[in-house]
Amino acid sequence: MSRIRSFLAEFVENRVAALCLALTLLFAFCALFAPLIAPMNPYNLADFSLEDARLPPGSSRMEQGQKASLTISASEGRAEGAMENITYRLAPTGDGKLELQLEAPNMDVSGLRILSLPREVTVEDARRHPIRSEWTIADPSKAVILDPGPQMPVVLNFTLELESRATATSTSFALGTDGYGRDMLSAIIYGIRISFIVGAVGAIGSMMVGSSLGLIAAWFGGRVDAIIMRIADFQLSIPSLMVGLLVLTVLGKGVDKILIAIVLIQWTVFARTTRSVALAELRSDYVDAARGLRLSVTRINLRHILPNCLPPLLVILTINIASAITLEASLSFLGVGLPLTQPSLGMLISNGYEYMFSSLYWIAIYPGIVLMLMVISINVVGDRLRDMFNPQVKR
Amino acid sequence: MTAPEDTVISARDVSKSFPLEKGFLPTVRRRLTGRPLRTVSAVDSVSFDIARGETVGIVGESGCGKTTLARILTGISQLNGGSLTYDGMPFDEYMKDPARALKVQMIFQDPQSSLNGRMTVLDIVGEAPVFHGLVPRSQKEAYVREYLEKVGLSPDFIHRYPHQFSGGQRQRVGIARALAVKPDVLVCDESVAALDVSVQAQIINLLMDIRRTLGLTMLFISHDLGVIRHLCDRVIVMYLGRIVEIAPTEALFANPLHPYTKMLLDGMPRITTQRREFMSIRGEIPSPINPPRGCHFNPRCPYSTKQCLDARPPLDTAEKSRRVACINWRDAAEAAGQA
Amino acid sequence: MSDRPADTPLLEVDRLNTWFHTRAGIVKSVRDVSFTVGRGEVVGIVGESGSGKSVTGLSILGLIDAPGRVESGAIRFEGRDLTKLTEAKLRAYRGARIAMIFQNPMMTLNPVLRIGDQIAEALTEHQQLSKSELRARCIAALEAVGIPSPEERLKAYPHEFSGGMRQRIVIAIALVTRPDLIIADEPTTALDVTIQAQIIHQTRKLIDETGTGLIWISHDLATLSELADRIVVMYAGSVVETGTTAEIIGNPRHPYTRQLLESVPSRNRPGKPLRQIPGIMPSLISLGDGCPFASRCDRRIEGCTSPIPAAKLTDTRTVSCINMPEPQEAFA
Repeated sequence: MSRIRSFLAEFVENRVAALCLALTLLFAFCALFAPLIAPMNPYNLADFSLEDARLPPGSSRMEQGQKASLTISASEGRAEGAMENITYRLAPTGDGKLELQLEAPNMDVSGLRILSLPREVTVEDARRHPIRSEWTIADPSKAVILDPGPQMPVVLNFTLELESRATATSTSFALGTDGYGRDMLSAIIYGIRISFIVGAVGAIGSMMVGSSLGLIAAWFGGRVDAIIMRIADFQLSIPSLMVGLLVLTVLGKGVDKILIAIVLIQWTVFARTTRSVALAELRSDYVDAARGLRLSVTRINLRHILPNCLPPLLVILTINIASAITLEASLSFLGVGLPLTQPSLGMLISNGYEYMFSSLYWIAIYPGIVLMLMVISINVVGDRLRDMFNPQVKR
Repeated sequence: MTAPEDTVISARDVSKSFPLEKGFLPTVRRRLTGRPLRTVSAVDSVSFDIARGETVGIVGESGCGKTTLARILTGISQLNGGSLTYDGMPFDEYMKDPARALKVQMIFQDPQSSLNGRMTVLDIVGEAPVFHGLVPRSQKEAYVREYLEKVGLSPDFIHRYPHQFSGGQRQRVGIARALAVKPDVLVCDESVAALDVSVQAQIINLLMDIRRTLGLTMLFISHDLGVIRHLCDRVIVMYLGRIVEIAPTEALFANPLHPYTKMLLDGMPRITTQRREFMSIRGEIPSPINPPRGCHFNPRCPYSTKQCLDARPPLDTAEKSRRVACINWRDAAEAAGQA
Repeated sequence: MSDRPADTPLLEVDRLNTWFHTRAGIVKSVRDVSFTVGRGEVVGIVGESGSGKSVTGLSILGLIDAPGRVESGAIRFEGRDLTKLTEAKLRAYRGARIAMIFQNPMMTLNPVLRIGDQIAEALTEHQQLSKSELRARCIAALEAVGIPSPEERLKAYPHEFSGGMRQRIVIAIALVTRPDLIIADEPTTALDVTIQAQIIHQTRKLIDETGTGLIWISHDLATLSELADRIVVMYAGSVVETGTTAEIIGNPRHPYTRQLLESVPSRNRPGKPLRQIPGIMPSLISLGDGCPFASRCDRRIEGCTSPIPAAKLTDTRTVSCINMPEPQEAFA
């Protein structure tokens, strides 16, 4: 336990690295506890609606207004009734028109529409729908005047639709909403989770796989080396995005499938780097000394050779974490990998890109800043670890 | 020839060659044409015996194969010709038991690369003893401290890294590492070559001390004849992969029989107050890839005759306990006596 | 041996100080070093790692990079102080008047250029020559250092030569401009004994023929004793003793020189423990003003912690010690 403590104490001697470690831990925390931290669940489609789309930071969530639908049947131009606390009265005005009065004490009526009116009947101060028989009343607070036309119909049937104003709820969107109505903060937190897992686990996984293959290639040489390196060459000749597309088309969508794809893409650079450093180290006297001391092959590779390979590997690892995150965003954007409903930071940024030049800055900027901080802090932590593993660097 | 009773190491026609051509196409060509792959012979059929407790020096210049031979004797490289026996047992069998295989250890030349820069002294020295069960893990630190003291280093250095030491101190760590597995035979491959003169003296004294207290058999490989003369009971002189002379140390220095040994001793820089006249030395050391026919030394030998190109001269007994690989050694001795 | 008339020496190093300003502190690699080199004279600088001998050689040619610099002192080449020159003026000296040879020939030779071109480059840098004249000079240079079939070898690349040959080519490049002084930093340390002997022999011949001055830096007293006219002994950045070879080898007066000679195996009885110098060289950062060898010296007295002047014993002899051991009988 004390070794970890002294390791940490040494680590934080560098203030910038300490700050970045804190940030990385914060991101890791978000990644682990996302469902508990996020105010809303951006995956639950029922939780958000397009009504809330593109709201600026600090806006409150709007409760949908109530809707009420009344079917009215008027004879001789008269009708009267009540339904769900809404009373209505239709009566002729005297100059051949009908007046409709409504009382909805429980509703703050913001929208009023009349549907299914016969052709001849028109409504004053109302807009007619171009296709359907639907009249939208301009000012629902005033009484509605209907013009039945030259002949007063004996029976007049129509439907009345009332809508109340959307009311603000207590929940507010701290960072605004995106184009689909999702809370940005929640989406970002869940996005951190996905990006972090994909980046860290993917890159570390490919480092483990790639380095093992590199060590094996360097130690055994000959045919084993040739086979492994030719496979790596072959794979490197295909653009990584295409490899990812191919793998994910076969495997399907999901975070675990993306991790497999990333390992399959990134192992090559780790394998090649490890192999070239290992080949140089294998010529050193200390490896011969280890052989002379009859240590096992595994031990020599893991305990003697691999630590000397770590500095370049750590640097590549930190670069690859960012690269893995970007790769995943591209793949999700292209429709494989993650569905649109489970956004990562990368996908949020790509979605928000179209809003860049409008004034709706929050949709792209916040995920972008978070992604940048994540990548930078991981890189700084990686650099510090590399320096700490090198006993010769003055700290 | 049979080896005497107390022989530790017995080498008969030990050879090691490295392929010059590797890979797919040359192998195909070989299969199709039947011509063998080109190789370079690093060690070319050497035979000798090493008795328990003695210190044998192996001297030669670049390309003579002494380093390759050292690695074969310590099991780091494999021979591909001839046979090697340890304590009467064939080498391969001997090496099968890890406890036995630890009995032959090597001290390397370069203090820089012979220690793993990322391991502490504690691990460098203590790893193998713990791995092989010579000492339980709980006792590792005490064990390493003991061995650091044996080589003249402060036990407090246990948590330091190699780069914090000087060359001489690193060499001591290397010696401690070898001693910690309790060997019987120590092979020192140019172990003091990379050190300063004053540090060299310290390390040589250390080696002599542990040789005495631990009863070690030592093989000391060097190009420095002064050090060899000081440390060794017998000397083996090698040239381009072959042994050219074996003799007790004083006899070799007083009266070298092989022309190459003579050249080596003449060319050796000596501390003197008078400027010497240098003998004009002919030629370069040939490349091991294309060695001269017959006796490898014949292009540079002042005593070479036509027969020298015919065949490899055998390593014959010249005088009591001296062997020379030269068909003209008697003439050479006469000529030198007259000069 | 050289018999210098009392004119200006070819090179005069006068209280040279070269310090490295590192984060850990100031490393005083060369402290108040003074010596001279006459025309056609071979001066050997001997010392162990950390003695400052290589840094001295590099300082003469102004090849010290940051964080090091020449702090003080003068380096007078034919009377002219090199430390006061600009880089541009100094470049006129390098290669033309003063040449340098390093331990690793690949520090001088460019692996992708033919050696003929590299020798020619040394010439054309400082002189105008016709093509045929250039070629003739290059061939002559290779012949002088003993490279067989020089006309064909002009077209070869460095990797086609062995280590000894490469070093000879480097010497050829150094000599081709007919410099007045050559500084050689451990040129034969990495080479085999027989090749070393050849190169030393050839170098001596060339020096005698051309009258070039030579500074030969080495840790090997044996080599220097066979090659040098005078020897400068350095320890931890300071000069502890200078004198002719016969004086230094036969009758060393400084305790360090004496103990160094005593620790060589050939000066000890075979099989017996070597006489060794106890302790290790001090760190160059935390040195005081006094004698750097004091901490390991068995003749240490009170005054050794104060700065030690270089006592001039004779015209050719200086020793920096206030408690010298008695003179010895000269060794053969």
